[in-house]
Amino acid sequence: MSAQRVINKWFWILGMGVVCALVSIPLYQILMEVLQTPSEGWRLLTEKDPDGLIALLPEEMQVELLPEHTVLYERVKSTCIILCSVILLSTLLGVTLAWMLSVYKLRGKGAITFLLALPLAIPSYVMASCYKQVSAGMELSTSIYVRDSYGAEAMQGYDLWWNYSLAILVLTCSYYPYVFLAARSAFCSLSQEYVESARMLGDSSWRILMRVALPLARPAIMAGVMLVALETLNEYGAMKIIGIETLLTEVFKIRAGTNDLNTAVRVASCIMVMVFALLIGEQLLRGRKKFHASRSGGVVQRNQGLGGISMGFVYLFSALTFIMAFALPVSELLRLASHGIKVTELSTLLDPVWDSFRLALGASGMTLVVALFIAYANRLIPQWWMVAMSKISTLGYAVPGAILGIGIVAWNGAMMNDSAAGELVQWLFYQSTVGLMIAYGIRFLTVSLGSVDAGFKSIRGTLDEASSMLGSSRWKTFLQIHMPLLRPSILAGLLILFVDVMKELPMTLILSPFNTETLAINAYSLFAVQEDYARGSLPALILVLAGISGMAMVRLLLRTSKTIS
Amino acid sequence: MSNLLSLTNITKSYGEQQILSSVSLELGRGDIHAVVGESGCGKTTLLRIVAGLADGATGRVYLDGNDVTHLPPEKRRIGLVFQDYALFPHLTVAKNVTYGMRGKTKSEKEHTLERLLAIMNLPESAMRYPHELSGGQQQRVALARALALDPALLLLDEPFSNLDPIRRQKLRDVLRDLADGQETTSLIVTHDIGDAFKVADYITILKDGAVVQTDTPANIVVNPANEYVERLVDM
Amino acid sequence: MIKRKIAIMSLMLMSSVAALAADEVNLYSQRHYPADKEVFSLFTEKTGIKVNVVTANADELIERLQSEGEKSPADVLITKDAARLHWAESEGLYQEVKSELLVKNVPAHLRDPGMRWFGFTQRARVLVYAMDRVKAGELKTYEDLAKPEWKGRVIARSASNIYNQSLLSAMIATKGEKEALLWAVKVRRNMARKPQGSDRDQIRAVASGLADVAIVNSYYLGLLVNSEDPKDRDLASKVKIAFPNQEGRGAHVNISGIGVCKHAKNKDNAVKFIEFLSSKEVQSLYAEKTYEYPLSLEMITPLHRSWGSFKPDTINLKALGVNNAKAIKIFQAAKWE
Repeated sequence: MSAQRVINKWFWILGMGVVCALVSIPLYQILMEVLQTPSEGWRLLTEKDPDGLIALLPEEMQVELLPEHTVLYERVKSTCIILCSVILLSTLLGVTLAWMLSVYKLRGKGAITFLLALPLAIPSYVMASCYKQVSAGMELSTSIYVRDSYGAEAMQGYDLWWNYSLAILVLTCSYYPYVFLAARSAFCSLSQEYVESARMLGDSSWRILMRVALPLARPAIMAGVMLVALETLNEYGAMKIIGIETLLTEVFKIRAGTNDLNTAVRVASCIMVMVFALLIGEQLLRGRKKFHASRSGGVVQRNQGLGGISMGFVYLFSALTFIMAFALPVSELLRLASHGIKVTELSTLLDPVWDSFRLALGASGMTLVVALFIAYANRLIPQWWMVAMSKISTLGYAVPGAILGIGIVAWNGAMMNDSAAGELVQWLFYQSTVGLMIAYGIRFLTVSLGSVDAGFKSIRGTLDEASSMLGSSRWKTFLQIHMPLLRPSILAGLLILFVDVMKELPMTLILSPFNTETLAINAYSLFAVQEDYARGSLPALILVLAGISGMAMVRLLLRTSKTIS
Repeated sequence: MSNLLSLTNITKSYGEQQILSSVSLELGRGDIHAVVGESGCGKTTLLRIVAGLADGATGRVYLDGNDVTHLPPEKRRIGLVFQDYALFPHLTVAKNVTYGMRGKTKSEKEHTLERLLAIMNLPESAMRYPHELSGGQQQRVALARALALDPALLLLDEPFSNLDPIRRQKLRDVLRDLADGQETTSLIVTHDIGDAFKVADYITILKDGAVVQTDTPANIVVNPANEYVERLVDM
Repeated sequence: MIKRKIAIMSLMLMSSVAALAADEVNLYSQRHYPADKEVFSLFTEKTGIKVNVVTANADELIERLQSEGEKSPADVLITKDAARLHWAESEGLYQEVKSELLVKNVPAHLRDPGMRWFGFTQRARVLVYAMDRVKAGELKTYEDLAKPEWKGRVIARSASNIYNQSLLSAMIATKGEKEALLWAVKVRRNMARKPQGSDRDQIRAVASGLADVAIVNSYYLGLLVNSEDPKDRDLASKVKIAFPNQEGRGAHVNISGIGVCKHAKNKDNAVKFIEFLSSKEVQSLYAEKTYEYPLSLEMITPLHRSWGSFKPDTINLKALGVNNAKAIKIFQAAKWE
């Protein structure tokens, strides 16, 4: 092996190492913090009467007041309730919709699929605000009714139930598209033959779904479900607006109130434990199935015709979902905006738009370069450990944004003690937005990498070799052969990343330097902190519009890219 | 030394498996040399070693007297026609063919393109894209592209596999013309000994990574080295 | 000749004034009301000093100041409540200011005894009740809310709301931990529903009949009365304000406050700015535009008058910060989420 080849190899390996190290820093720091002795705030969460205050009271009151469970327990419980419900509902909804669209003969499937995926353009905290506005009146009148009919205690229970239901509804509407799209894609690539043989053997549509399609599509659908789970664990804005206390809202509360980093990190690590449990669960469920369910030559093309009533039902169901998850929130936003426009000077929006835009651009650009690096390294050195390192580099996505932010803050604090690193950290995170962009990169690398990697894999290795034989160096090959062929994937990845960064809230809240206020933060603080729904609707609308355009462009790109190669 | 290509004791293993054992080969200028064997005998690996696309082998590769064993493929000036043709899908035929022509003027490129397309019988194809061409046409473009470099050595990986008999004949004719007219040396790898017999000046039979016999087609028929070769010839 | 000399001298004078106009003051502020912007413009007009503002949450601002240390460009820090003023001061972020004017304009209980921070607007934490279900004068004190006849009729924000925490802090300072805890327990028991939502949610709940009385900040009613949205004005018309503890210690008040940063580079400008905030001009501007109370309760607007005059609790607001941590613990023990 030539000496040059050896040097080149190390360049890629070291580069991968740097990326993995960057990604691991927040997690490592969290671990370090957790290993230190807990500070006082932790006692407040894990003891029932941390200061002996209840002991001050007369006996009979004590019995009543001593809480049944610690605060931590309650938070874990509420987080679990929300998580499980959202996963269940979004899976049911997503899979049902995907199946109906895949197996039946329907007009305008492409358009319907696009429309049903549109809720992704609406940030969950915006959806929560809209729903809160829309349902406020109903909530009050029904609460009063319950109190008058069943008493004050019942009303308290009703109130709790209402909030949870609203939160679950909002999150389901926000995230079901992940499952929907995954299922649709999986059903689409299901081999025709499987479905037809099942039909020949007498299975109705329903049975085909349960016994054939679902099991075969399961890995892909699981990926979608994992996304829903991770997003739900990362949910802060919507929970705050609706008024549900979860582990994550507790983290923010601790940071805001007492600035007790250690306790905040501890609570954050509880969330991480749940994430790991989910990841391991997914691996175990996926691990055994190794067959390939897909063959080229799409799916259920010869679709089943539907009787008029059933067809009507399918359209109705889709329409209802669309209305609930998209049309309703957006129309409420528009209504609020009509008030908001009167009281806002539009020039005040320029700053957040600019901040959001340049952050998103910078972050996506940086992340894209890293993604290209990793995908290329994998192409050059297809060893198992390279693949392993690539997997590690995508860990960032599994960590809720806020936790990533907290980890980075903890690391910043540790670095401050060392003057040289301290200066760098200061510049990165307090004086410029570079640190924030790197954080976005760590979090969203998967998104970019998935696109780019798929793109690379679709370029046969022989093309690289042909180019080499024709005298081109690796770099020339990359520029003249890979890049043009990768263009659709790169653009798609860039767009998705762009929209994701613009929508991001919890991590941005924690890490953004002073003079930076993204549209997301602007909308959130107007909605949740100042309760100025009219004003807040304006940045929210801009975000939604950006999301819709992004998605529309991606759809266009993926369509046109099918003509080449 | 008049030999264009000289392989000395090429040995390669992959883990426990021995892919090539001490393979030695000599190619003269203007020869058409075929390496024949069943799938898995190591012939494609041998080709790739000559091209510079495979490493981890011991032994030496000499090209026109120079030791190119550790030279990267882009520096070897060897033409290679892949089994799947490997045409760049986003480039026109013209751009594909002239891809390797570095440092040439525009008119030189156009001239060479015209000449090669004529030889390959691909008139009016310059502005088409690979996916618009038939398999046979694609192969000819791939060949033209390799030849545009004016290489001393041309490698072909299973060039006859996807062709019907007429096209095979045409390909054999082209290779013969190149060898006779331009002294282009060709190294062909194929599993079909019949094709090899019809076009090659010399044939090397490879079995399980080792050379069984290297000889002219006539000699192989008359003096097969062992039973294996006999059986091969009979087929 | 003399005319010429005068001309030259006045030119020189004018250019030195122009040089002064490059003067500036840098604010780190938790407030970002439109009215604040007006105040800044007025200040620049009057003094020629340019005002640079950066707005964010108090905790972020404080964290920032701490990490910036001596290199901090901030001249003043503005917060929306007294507890955070105290926190900033205890972190050593403020410096002492010697100003006769401020001593005169800012009542003693609304400024730091050590002259490190000063309030410039007030807000009272009042009881807002439904006109059709509660008689005027029925609610006299905060302690009334703990009485059994109010069971299921009280509503308030959550314990994480800083104004509730400050209310309880004042109570701890005046009546001690145990009494404060008892109060919190009993009021929580009397609540119509779990503490949640915004100020607007509380008032909406009272107007709609879900509860009969809410604990909110005074200026909120001003916002509703003058809102663009007819729904808001409707809400405001159904409720009235009661100022608690008028015969006792007075109604609980909080402040928006300001102090000069320890490492301020433009200290004189900063002091000028703070003094400007306490001037009549600015005080009446705030009263008009944000419905907050000015420092002197004499100078109030017709709107304020319509609510009635009130006696404020004059405990030094430093206490709100000192007892904040305790207040949080008491809320938790009382199950007031």
